[in-house]
Amino acid sequence: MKQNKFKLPQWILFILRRFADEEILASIEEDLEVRCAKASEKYGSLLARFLCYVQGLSLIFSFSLESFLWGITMIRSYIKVAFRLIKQRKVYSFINILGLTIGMACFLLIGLWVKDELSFDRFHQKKDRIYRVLNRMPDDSIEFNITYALGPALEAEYPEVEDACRVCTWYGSHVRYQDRIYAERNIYLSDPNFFKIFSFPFIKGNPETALSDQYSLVITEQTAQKYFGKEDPLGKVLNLSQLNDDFTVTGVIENIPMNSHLRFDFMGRIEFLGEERLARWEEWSGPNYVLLQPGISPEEFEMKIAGIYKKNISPDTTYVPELQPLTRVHLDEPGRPGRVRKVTMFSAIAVFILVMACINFMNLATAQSSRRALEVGMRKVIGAQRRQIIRQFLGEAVLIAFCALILALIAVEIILPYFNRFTGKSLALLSDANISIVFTLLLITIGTGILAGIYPSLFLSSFRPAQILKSRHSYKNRGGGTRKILIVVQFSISVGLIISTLLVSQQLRYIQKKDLGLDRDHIIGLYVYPSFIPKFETFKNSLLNQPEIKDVTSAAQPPFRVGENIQINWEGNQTDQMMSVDYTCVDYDFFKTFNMPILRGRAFSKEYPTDEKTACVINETAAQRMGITNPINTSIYMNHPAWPESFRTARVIGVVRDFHSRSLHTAIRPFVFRMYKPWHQYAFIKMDGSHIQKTLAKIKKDYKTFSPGIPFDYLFLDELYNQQYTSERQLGNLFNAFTFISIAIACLGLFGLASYTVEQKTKEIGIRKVLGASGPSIVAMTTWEFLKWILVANVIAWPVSYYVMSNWLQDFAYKISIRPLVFVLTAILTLVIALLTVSYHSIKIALSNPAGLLRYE
Amino acid sequence: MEVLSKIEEILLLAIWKLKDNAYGISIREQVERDTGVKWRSGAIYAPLNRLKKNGYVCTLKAEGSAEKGGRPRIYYQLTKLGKKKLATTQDVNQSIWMGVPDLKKEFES
Repeated sequence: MKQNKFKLPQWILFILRRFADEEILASIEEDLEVRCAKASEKYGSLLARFLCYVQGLSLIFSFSLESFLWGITMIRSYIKVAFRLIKQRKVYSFINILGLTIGMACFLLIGLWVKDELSFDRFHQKKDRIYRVLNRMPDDSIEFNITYALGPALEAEYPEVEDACRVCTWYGSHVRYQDRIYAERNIYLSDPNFFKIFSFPFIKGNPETALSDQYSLVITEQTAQKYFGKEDPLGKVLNLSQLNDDFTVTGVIENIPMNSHLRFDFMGRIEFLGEERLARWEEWSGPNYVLLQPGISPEEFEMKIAGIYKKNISPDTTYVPELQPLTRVHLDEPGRPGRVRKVTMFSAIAVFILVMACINFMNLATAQSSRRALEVGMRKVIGAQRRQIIRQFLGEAVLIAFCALILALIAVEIILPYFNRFTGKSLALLSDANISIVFTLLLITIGTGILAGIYPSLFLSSFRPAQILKSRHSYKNRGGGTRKILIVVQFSISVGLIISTLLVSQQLRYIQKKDLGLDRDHIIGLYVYPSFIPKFETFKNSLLNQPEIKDVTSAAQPPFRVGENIQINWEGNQTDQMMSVDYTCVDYDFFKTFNMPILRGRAFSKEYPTDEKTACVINETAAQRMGITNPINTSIYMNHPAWPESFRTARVIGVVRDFHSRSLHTAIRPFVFRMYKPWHQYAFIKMDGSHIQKTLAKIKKDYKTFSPGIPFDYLFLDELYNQQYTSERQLGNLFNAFTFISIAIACLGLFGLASYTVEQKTKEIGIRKVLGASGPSIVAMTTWEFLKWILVANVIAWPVSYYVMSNWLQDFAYKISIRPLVFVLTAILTLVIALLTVSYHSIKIALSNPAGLLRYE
Repeated sequence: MEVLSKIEEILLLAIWKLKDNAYGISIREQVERDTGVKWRSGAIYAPLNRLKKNGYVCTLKAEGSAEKGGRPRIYYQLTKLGKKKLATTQDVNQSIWMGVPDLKKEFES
């Protein structure tokens, strides 16, 4: 018989060598040879070889299972050691875990917020093909309110466009169903194909046909509930006071998710704006959305339509249309900038805080290395390999990270409701949409653990056992350089955040205190029913009889909430360009109520009956742009399609001082006041500021007698004004909170390090004291060691934060200047905080008895 | 003190029984004789590896025996610790089975 020796393949041997030593391997090989020889007698050599091969594989399986089980036992031992350590060094562990918990909680909160910001408008099925058309204006600004003629033109002329619709965020109206009347402000108008382009899920009705009738309305579930309760809303008739017409409800959609930039309660047909206005090319009315065919490149299409204004207006027009992807609309809102910057800023802060917490961890772990060096030495002597020690320390770090994670999750759960109120969002930690967060979280935890543990583990495992055990002292100050760098990094971040916080809050104060050129204190805006306007004069007179009420007027909009703009032409216009102006319609006493000084000419007055039809008041900027030294009596042509022809030409009767009609993000624009009464929606009542509640009750009583059954719907103008800066205030508040947290984390780290350093120097300080050093000099010595690095951190952070913050301030047309005082203040603040943190340990040791210090071993 | 697992006990006993003749194949054959079933190599050598690591058995190298084609055969022996462990296991086993009658008879009736 031929000797057919079986040999295990090299790769199997290679794997087995990981688990078993050579002697066992020799036994295995011998055994398998014998088995194979026997088997080949029975089954033939080929099958026998195969069987032995299978045996080889089963060996790998058995050994790896074995080693895995052993691994678990080892992990148990590591966990034991780790928990023992946590117990043993309460302060260090507390600082470590607390710091990491805070860092992770912040990271989570900001992560949820950022995720929500980025999720805007992503629920639309065709989101990748929907674009909003923007206009690049001659002055290079971007306007999203564009002509309503564009959408239909694009759809008709370009096969690339599958669908297009125009959306108008209409001013409010009172809505009546039987005897129920509510003031509604979220009424949108659009084309019938709106619901084909955007996927708002319908509960009742058909999205294809819901808006096919001109007098149809689609409402949200919540609105249906409000008006009809449990009744079936379909086919119900609602009366809109502004249009003075009846509308049939043809569809009910689910409540609009928070992360939609289109937020409406009612959706009707856009035709109510009037055919003339919809067809006009040179009027900036509202947004247009297009749905491109699949596979169309937006860039190419943009090139194709670049000349559309030239074709339809005049060859020398400089407006250029641009496409904005739907998913960018929320982040890149023209006129409300800084959203993207806010998202990036906060993401950066989240990462910063997490990094700071990790730095604490690394710092403390390396600082403790001398204590643990002995343990490492022992482990190595007993036979631990370097990678085992690395694994142990990484494992410890990950374990602590997991502890921190669990605490952070609990903390976030608790904080989230407040955070939501703060940011006006409805975030949830574990919702269907946030499943991915669970995975991200686990990754982050392991990542944090590894990030925080990698340096100490590499550092500690590099110790050579013989040296450690012989003399620990040579290892005492190792890693000091890295620790200092890490402190500098941490404090640079803190300093940067402090400077940013100070500047943000300065700018906010500036905005709030800024003289708008008009009064807004103690003025309420009363939202009135159209049928009330004819009775307004009587109402006004009855109110003015009361001493608490100083002035009463009416207008279409609060003066700093005017979004309407129109192109005007004027007598003696030297250019061939019309001028784009903001405009609104007001009543007598308007300028008096808002305390807006008339610089030239006069305000609207009852003495001139023609004022109601043919007078206008302009602001300084408008007068200046018109280029006429005395604009009084100049004729202005305002081609507003909704006005009767007799209203369209007006003479300037006065010039009012410039005021801020838009948010301080934008510069003052030319402004025109008219008196067109049918548009008046608000009564403005100025009170003298005493007994506000009583006065309000009186006004309410009066109002109820004049328009029974209509809700008394009012707002304070100063509150309304502040609403414009909600986003900035949130930014300010969050900045405050996160800056505080980052300082706290940095101080935690500093505190831990200081206690360690002082401990290290116990002997030195003892000797110094014995030799006659005074307490203060010892305090100075130990604190200076840290303070100098904090000074370095300041110097590093200054230019960076200057650059970032001056960038942020660019978003405001009216802004504070960055003064050096802020930087000096920050430096002093950080030094004081650091001093307080470190001084606890340094003073403690300076006051102690030198004999005790020297005998500490 | 941890109790030996069953396979560890079987292996230690097999090695003890084989005295000077305990090497890979003979151990496996002894185990198979004792238990009456065939064993996979992995099921034998992985625990054997563990026993060696734990210091219950030690190895001896027999230099170049002829039948082995030059390769030294590895012989296994119980260490003192292994013997102690095995003795304790016997105690434990006896106390486990203490007072238990012949189960075959017991369950048949």
